[in-house]
Order: sequence, then structure tokens, then C-alpha cells
Amino acid sequence: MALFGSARDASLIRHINRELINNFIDIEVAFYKLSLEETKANMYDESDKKIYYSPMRLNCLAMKDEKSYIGDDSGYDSSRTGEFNFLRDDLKDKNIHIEEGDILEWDNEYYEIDTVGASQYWAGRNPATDIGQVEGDIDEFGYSVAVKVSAHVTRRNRLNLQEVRSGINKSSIIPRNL
Amino acid sequence: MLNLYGSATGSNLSGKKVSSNMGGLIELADEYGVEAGVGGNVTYYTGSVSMSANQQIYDLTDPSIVSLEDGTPGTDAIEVKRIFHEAPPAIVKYFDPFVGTGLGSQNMLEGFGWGQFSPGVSFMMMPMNADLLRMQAIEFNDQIRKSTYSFQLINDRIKFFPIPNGSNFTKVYFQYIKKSDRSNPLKGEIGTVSDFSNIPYQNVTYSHINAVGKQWIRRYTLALCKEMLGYIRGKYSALPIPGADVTLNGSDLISAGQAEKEGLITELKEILDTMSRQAQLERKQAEADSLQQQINKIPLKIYIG
Repeated sequence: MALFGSARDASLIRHINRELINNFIDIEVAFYKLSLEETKANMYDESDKKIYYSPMRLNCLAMKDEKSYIGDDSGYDSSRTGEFNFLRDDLKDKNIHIEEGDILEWDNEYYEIDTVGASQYWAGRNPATDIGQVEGDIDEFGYSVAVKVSAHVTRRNRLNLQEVRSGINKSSIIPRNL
Repeated sequence: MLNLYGSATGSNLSGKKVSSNMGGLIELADEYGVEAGVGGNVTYYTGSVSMSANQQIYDLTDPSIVSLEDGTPGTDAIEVKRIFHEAPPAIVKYFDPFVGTGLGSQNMLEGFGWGQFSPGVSFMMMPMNADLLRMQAIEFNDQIRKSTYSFQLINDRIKFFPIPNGSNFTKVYFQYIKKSDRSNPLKGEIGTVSDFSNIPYQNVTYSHINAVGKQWIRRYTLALCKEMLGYIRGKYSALPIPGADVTLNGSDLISAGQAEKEGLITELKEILDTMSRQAQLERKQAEADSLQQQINKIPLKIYIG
């Protein structure tokens, strides 16, 4: 039985993470969950008119890469990827399940989620899948810390989340001090 | 501490003024009193040695001739403190006309023509040293020309002078202490204040502490919290956060908390030292000295008669 990494220690890490992410860093993103029931797909299981649920605000640690520009015969385009790390327990408590295809809005950009992983374990084990604990032989040890999301910036006119052809500058993009 | 030695442990002294007393000092002096034979806390017992005719040396461990008030000769270690076997004081022979060195004052007075007066109204003035020399002469006379009453005590054997003849003295008394009594470390009352650990100081009621004390407690509590939080944060050098690690300031908190605690303890000691009776007296003395020096600066009046 491990001496370190008990549920009590995990609780310390959980509290520090919540304090750090929700109170100090406090980066908020809007999470748009894809509604599979309302989205109509074609015979290839594709859809160009996806329907999303109303957004939820979530705290996370977000980082985005620099824009990269591609020029080819069809024109000039840019792309950007980003990484979003959520505290897994926060998502679990709110019953939020992030999947590929969901949308994250952050810094006036919309990111379509490419990969979702939850393999950052503290003390090297996930108590939810730890065989000894699942079988009831040992107490809870370890901690599954985060849900790591990789995403890329997608065009907002494809998402049907925002009117982009109205020709009106949205006031939300103007800084308050101007 | 000396003021509390031997006092009851039952009464709570917290928040009470402890009066100064000599109890502890006197108790410390008891052992000197024992050795000097002027009191103390070891009992002086009485014993006796039975004399036999023509036997000059006696063994104090022999139970057939030695009788002890407490203890058994030869079994209990004793220390003889006083032997009542002394010559009568010279003063009793001072006026003895047969002693040889006695003062024949009546003869002298008669020689001067005042013999017919009553001794109650006639006096002869002599210097004090004449009396002392005369008494010394009487003692020397008894010691040298006679075998006066004396003794010699070495280890357990005692030698008496003069040689007992069965009639001049048949029993010699002495005072002694039992060595076990003297070396007994538990002479005082059991269950009284003996050291710092059982002085009946109880927890001070927080509401009775003044603002200065409460402020000190708050600061010490803060230092303890810092130290404790430092140990908690320092248990793991780096804590995982989503996608990264974070290092907490555990070591900083520990060092800060410990330094504050040490400083507060030092501060408290210094305050208590300045509040001691000795420090207060020294301060009063310094104040008085300073005041006296100030007063000395006042010009003295010139007396014009």
C-alpha cells in the first residue's frame, strides 16, 4: 500500500487546483456542446449545419499557438491550434463530458475540438480504474487531474453560433476604454 | 521558586500575587543548622555508653555496652555530635581555696586591713585578664597535673579520661544523628511544591489576558499557522495542475513562521526579564540615582546669619 498519494492528499491537490484555476487564474471559455439529436447528417454522417446547445462558461488553463498562414492556388488562409486543460473534477461535478467536435469559444475565436484526453495522473494512477481500489482491496490512491483538449480555430460562419454576415461590428470586440 | 518551595500544590496560583517569604531559604539553611547543632531537619538522638572499671577504650558498635535511643549499635551508622563528658568549668573552682590557683581574695583583703568587713560590702577590683588567666591556670592544672574529664573519639572507638574506676562515672551520655537521616533526600513534606513542574499554575483564562498579551498570542498563532501551512504545502515539491505543475511556497512559509516564532519567544523572554523583581529593583535604583543627580544640580542656598 502506498504511503503517499492517498485520498486526503488528493483532496489537497483538488482544493489547490480549484483555488488556482477558479479564483486566481480565472480564464473562462464558453463551451458549446454539439447536439447530436438535432443535427442532421447526410449519408456519410457529415453535416454542414451543426446544432449546438447553449454555451456554458468553464474555467480552464488555455494556451494558443501562433497563427500559421497558408497560401495556395485557392487563396490565402490562416490556421491556429490551441490547448485547453480543464480540472477533471470540475467537469465531473457539473456533469460535463467534452468530446471531439464540441466547440470552445475563447479570445473571440472558436475552437473545434480535435482530441480529448485524460491521462494526467498524480501519483501515477487513476483511482477510478485502479484495480486494487475497484476490487475493494486498497483505499483510494492517486488522482486523475485534468482533461486535456486540443483544438483548432474554425470558421465562425460554419457554426451557426453567430451572425457574421450582418455587417455590424459587434460592440463586444471593442475595448471598454475606447 | 524559593518562595514556593514546600507550599501546597492544590491551590491555583494563576493570576495571584506570590508573596516573598523566607521559607525556601530557611529550608536550604536547615542542613547547616544540623551540622552546627543549632536546629535543622535531622533529629539529634541520645545514647549512652556503660563504663566498666579500669576499661578506658570502648567500642561504640558494641550493643552490649552502647544504648541508642533510635537504631541498633553496629547496624545503623551514626555520627556522634556531642559527648557529655567534660570537666567542670574552671569558674566553679575560681574561689576554691584548695585548688592551688584559686583567688584568696579574703586573705588579701585582710592583709590590707579590710578583713573585718562583710564580703557583701567589700570589693577588690582586678583587671579582667587576671580572671581569664586564673581560669586558664585552673584548666591547665586539671589537664596536666590531673587526669581531667575528657575523651578521644576516633572512628568507632572512644577513649575516656580519667580511667573509669567504676565509681567516678558509670555511664557517659552522648548525642548522635543517624547518617541515614542526614542523607535522606526526602525530608520535606511529600506532595508539596518541589520544582518547576508541580507549581500549581494552571492555564490562564484567555478573557483575563490584557490586550498586549492577546496581541502577542495572535501574532504567535499567525506564525504557527504559517509554519503549519508551509509543512502542508511543502509535503510535495510540485503539485500537478491541468497540463503543468505548480510549486508552492511551503519553504518560504516554514522559514517565515519559524523566524516569527523565535522572534516572539525572544520578545516574550525579554519582557518577562524586565518584569522580574530584580530588574524592577535595579530600575528603581537607577531612577533614584538619576533623580538624586538631578537634585544635586539645584544651587544650594547661602545661609546668611
